[in-house]
Amino acid sequence: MPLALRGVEKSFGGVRALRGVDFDVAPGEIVGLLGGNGAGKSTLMKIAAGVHQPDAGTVSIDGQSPTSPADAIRLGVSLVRQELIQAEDLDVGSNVLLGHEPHRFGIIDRPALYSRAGKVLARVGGDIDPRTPLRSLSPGQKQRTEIARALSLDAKVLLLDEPTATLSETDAARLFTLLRDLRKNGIAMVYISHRLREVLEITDRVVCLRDGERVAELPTREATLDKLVELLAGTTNVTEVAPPTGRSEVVLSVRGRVSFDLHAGEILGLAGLVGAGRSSVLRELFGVRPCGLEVKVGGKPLSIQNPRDAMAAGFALVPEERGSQGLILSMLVERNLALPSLHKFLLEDEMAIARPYIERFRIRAGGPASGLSGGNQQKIVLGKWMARDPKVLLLDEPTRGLDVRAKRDVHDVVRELAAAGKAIIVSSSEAEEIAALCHRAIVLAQGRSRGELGRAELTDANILRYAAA
Amino acid sequence: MSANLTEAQIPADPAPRAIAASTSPTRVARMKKELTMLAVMIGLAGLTAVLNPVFLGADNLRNTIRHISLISLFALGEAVVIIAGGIDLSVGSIICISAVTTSYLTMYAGLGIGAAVTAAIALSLVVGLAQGLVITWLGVQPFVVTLGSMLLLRGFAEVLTGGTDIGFQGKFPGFRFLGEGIGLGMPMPFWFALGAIAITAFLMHRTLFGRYCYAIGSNAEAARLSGVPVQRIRLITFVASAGLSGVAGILYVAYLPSATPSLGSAYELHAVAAAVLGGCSLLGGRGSVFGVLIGAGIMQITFNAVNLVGKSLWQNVVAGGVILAAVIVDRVFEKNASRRGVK
Repeated sequence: MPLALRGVEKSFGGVRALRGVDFDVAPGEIVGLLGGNGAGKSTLMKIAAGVHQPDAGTVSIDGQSPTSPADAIRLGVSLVRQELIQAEDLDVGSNVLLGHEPHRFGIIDRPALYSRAGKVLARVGGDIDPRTPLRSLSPGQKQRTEIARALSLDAKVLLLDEPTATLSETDAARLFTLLRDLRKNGIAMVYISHRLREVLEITDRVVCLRDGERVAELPTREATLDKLVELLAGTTNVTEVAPPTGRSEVVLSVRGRVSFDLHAGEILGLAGLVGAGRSSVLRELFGVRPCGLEVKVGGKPLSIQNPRDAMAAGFALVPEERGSQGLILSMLVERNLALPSLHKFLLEDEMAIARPYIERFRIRAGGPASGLSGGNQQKIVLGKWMARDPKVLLLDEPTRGLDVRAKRDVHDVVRELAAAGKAIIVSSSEAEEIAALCHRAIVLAQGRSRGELGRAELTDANILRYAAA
Repeated sequence: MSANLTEAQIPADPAPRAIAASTSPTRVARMKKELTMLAVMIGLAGLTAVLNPVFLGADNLRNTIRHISLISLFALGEAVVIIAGGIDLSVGSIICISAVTTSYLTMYAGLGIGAAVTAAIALSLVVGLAQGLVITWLGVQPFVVTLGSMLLLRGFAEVLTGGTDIGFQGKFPGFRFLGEGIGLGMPMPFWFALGAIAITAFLMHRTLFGRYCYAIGSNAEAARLSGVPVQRIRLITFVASAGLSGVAGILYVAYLPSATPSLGSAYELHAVAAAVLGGCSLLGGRGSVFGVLIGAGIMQITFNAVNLVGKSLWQNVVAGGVILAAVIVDRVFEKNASRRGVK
């Protein structure tokens, strides 16, 4: 076996991410690795790639254990990441051979570099010239460049983490052709994806993780879409969500590639896989990027050019990246909380604005926001908008990376805000979160609405079914 | 506006108030960098006084204060730009063009001194505005834009003066008093600097403008998503820096015998050094007005010390050494502190 994991255990700060997982992949095989967010897929792959060391159990790459990512690559295991780390301003050939350039006395042998890169690029499709700047490639071409880089390092096992998340359909089709080709040549591959149709199309075998345990394994030919949905969703039951209050008043109307009327007191879910275009809907509504949607607030058309316009119309955005977009980490907690509420030239008493939220969330003030846990940081992001008493709250992945308790706390706050009559949109890649929190949901794929689920049909299985389409 | 929401939603909870109130120890901790540099400055002054007691003579002290004041003026502007995440390399050239314009207009264009000074300051502000617009509207990096105007303005100063000095030759004694004179026991530039310090400290530490500058310098994206008018504030910082440099240029020409096209060479770097010594981070978001004053003090005392010891050729060597030593010492302290777990 080129890659075999046995009884792998891993905990992060008391949270058990993996509990005795066995996993292997044979040459010329593509194994689909499935599981919800937090199921342990990424941790398992990082252990296989030498990024993390297991607490217990063994990792064997042809009989050897990797001690570092460089070591794993040397042994033939390469991780092809979702967010590729490449030098955009160098040309393709230099990227493929970065760190392994052919040279004489330290001077790069350019003809050798391009011919060697050209050969390996021919294996991944032959449409990429090693001399073109990386920047000019499509996302799919960049990804195949990354695979070419792995092949140039004699990879025997490729770990592909959501490889099609940002690809167009043409690019995805090309990628599949390449993967089939590599399979014929005896490369072993692990394919992580939430796109179940793709998993059915490309893999030979499917392994499913839930809460850090391997719960199922089956040959792909025995699998169907419904079977996979069932495995992923586990037991599904509709959670009780209090019905929206003040249903009569339409606060926000949106028309365009996504259309809906949002009522006061309502929690609308935006579901969909990573890359489905959920964030961009929220970012357009908040004026972070040019708005391609027709927006009416309280019946009146509204043109949103920037976040200040959106704020003036009563919007608030809890952005996807809490550390880089939601908070100013080096700034004091109370100043973060007060920042959007300040409007007088003379500084107002920031502590007075912040205190209700500091007390309510039991957060320590007086230090920079960077010193807080992820859960408390997210509560600050919520608090800083609550202080403005917005009409419409846009929440982008509000519980990403939070532990179970912090997640529940955030959900409680969201429900409470809805009960107080706020109109709320929650975007999440976790079907369970949408099902547990929202009154209804729109499922997005490829940037467009693929269907709307009312409260009665709002289960994670249904969301997955629409999203996989 | 927020009262109804907060009162409706926040359950009465008497306990955690104590948590929220305890901010005082961290405030001292946040000024630690400034206090370290204050110690460095006092140490330098002490050492200089030992090496040459003339340092403590009334004339030398006054002169030192005059120069610290002049440096403070333009270093403050630089610091505001740096805190908001930018950099301004045009400071020295604006000082020069402001000085040269003032003397040129009075000596060759027949303007009164008041009109000339007004024109020079207006010119400085226009330059700052133009730089700010290119930076914020077109999104060109501040380093590049201000580097360009640094060369451009220096060149104009050379063209305007024909490469030589323009002096007032005994004219405008009232104006000269602003640079040379003593008022209430202090050199006049001290009073200008004091005003600038008071206004800047107020703006940076007590107003929305200051808070926004720190927010933008720390994380411009998060600031924008919090409703901060990022580009407008950045524009203002460049105008403010240019304006303060313009005033500094006028005080220099009021103090020096003449305006020379080389006036203010490398002053932008002295300004950056003063800001960094005073605790500003070149990544933005950090620094204080108090710190910048100390930074300016360290710079000028170093220059003065080298002259007093009679080794003026060594001026830049020592100044460079002091800057490096100060930031290295600070960094070492910080590393040790973080190793011990103290933030």
